[in-house]
Amino acid sequence: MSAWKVFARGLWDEVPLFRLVLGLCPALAVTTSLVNGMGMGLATTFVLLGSNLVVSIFRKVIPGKIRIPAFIVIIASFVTVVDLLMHGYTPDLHKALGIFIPLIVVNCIILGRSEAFASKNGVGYSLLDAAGMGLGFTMALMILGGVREILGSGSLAGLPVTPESFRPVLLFILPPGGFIAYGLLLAAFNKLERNRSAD
Amino acid sequence: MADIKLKVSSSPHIYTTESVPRIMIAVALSLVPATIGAVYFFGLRAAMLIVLAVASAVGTEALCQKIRGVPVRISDFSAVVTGVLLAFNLPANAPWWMAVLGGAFAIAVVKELFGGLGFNIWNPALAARAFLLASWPTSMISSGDFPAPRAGTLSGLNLESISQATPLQFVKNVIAPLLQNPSEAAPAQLEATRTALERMQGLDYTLSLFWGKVGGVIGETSVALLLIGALYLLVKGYIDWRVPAGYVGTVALLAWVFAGPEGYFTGNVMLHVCSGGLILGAFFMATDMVTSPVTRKGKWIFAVGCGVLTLLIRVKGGYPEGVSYAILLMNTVTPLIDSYTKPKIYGGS
Amino acid sequence: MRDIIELVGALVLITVIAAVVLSNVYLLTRDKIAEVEHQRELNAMKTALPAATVFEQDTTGDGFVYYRGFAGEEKSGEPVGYVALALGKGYSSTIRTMVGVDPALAITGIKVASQQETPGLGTRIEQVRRGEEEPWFQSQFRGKTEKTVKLLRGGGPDGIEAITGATISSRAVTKSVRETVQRLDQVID
Repeated sequence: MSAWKVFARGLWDEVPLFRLVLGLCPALAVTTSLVNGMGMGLATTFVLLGSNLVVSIFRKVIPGKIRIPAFIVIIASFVTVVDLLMHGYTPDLHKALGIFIPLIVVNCIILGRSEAFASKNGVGYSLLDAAGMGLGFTMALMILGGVREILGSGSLAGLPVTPESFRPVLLFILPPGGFIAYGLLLAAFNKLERNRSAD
Repeated sequence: MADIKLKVSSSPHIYTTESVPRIMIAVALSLVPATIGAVYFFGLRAAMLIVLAVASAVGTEALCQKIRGVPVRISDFSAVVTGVLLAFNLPANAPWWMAVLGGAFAIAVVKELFGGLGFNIWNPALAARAFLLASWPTSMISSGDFPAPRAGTLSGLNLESISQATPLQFVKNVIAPLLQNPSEAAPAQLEATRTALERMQGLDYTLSLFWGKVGGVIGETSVALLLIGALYLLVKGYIDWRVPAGYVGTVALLAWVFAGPEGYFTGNVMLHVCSGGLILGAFFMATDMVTSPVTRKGKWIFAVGCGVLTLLIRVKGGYPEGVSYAILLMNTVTPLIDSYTKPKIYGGS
Repeated sequence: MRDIIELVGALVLITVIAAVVLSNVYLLTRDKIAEVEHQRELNAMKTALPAATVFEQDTTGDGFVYYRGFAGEEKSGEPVGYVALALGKGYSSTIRTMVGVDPALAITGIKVASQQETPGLGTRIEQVRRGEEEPWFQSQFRGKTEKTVKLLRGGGPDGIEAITGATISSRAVTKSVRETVQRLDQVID
């Protein structure tokens, strides 16, 4: 497989949120705005890069029987590092994402990439895989966050984008709106994919 | 094996297509007295909201069925019923676009996305009401902003010192906090509240609730007009008496036991039965065939569950009224109730 | 047996490495995080009591924490006002509000420090209207005294205008602020 393919796979064919339908918990919980979605996506990308790197380096040393607990310890460590760094250096974003940062640990995308890719491939490919998957996830969260923010708050990245007479559909920044927006976007992506493969 | 398509559908498995339009037309007819009442009480604005909600529901239904590539069946009247019931759940001063968006949401998201008539999990009109309430809460529940019906008042009390609110809003937002902290209130205010509570116990007050002299959303105003329609449906056999009986009965019993301001067994039963959306919900929405259980036992469970949840929300919850959420929650567990109350086949184990 | 020892050893090694890395990151960020938290608190106090630049913490015998605010750089002389945290039970969360008063116990400002009320309703206690700089609900408290911190239809100089549809949140803030002013009244002489 070419390096480009490893990277690009996460951006479309296997974009975690819309094609693999993985990582829904953080996706629906934090995407009330574009910035929150981006923050969560980038934090996840960072953890993914770190865990894929370490897992790939030590893939031959870690005994197969305890690989899952080993992966979890590695991932949890990286999440804690991200948590501490964000608390210190991006306090506002840290406050907004709140309890969801520790939850990156249980994001199945991260364990999934360790298990499915990094434990079987070299360092270079593993990093590319992490970057592709992470950016794909970030992109998906930003789309979801953007749609929900426009509809639910009438703004994008905090700036008002709708006419003043528009009364925001609050539902979209509430949990049920997350599910509805996600369902509709999923349908749109399936339609796009079907059109693409029909060509 | 390759091309066999097995159709999996939820109960009921025995049906005749012909009866769907007939039942729905009957339901629509049964809503006519309350609709006329709504226009009388709230004027042309109510008529406009009803027309807009129906038009939006029917239009969305046609559009969705076209997109899905299934036969367009708007003549079965089910979308009309949804539209009317949705409009009945709006305050008369709701902005016009709320009726339009609500009708579209009810049909597109709650009904057609789940597969159309017969496959929806929730009552479309109620789910749309929940959508509107979550999205524009200030237009749906703002206290004191509900218009009063013609020849009546919002609270039905004629007390100057009581701020304008529907009876249930008054009970939840004024009386409850006041009785919790009597020391905070001015003596005059406490006195007025006591007078109000006493008046609410009276027969006159119950009658004004019954005839429709007390405010609320468009369709819940007059118990009498709703009961005329309900009676027609009961006689025709299109709705099962068990659901409204179990529902209203449970609310009445629990209201008497738990809803009193001065301890157990002092609750104002008639206030809880006749005000708010209970009669509308119990006869016209909890009885929805698609979203309520099929078996008799299941219907009793469903009805009692609705009653318990309604009173729980009214007494302990954050909203003054709980009918719509109670029915939606019981809609959610309807498949479960059906599977537990499935009659055993004779000789089966 | 040998297998188990090997596995346990590997896992122990991994966790030890993780622990070492984590403790180092913790030490590295500890001061920065403390500073950020302190800054956040200080900002809230300064919004509540704009006249003060430094604050001195004090605790009463029964555990009520409050701050004396001083103008200038020294924590000495006559305080320009007092700040304390008000806790109010809102609709779906405890609303924490920083309350500032001047020596005559008139409110100099309040700042909601944290809340998780219903989006679009209760969260409007922090709403800033377009074209304005301050949250309108909170700015109403400025200049109010213990007697006038109460909900009043229409607001004005004698009361606080509640937020439409969010009476519970409005009442929670108003009540907790009033109680805090009363506490401060007992504390300062």
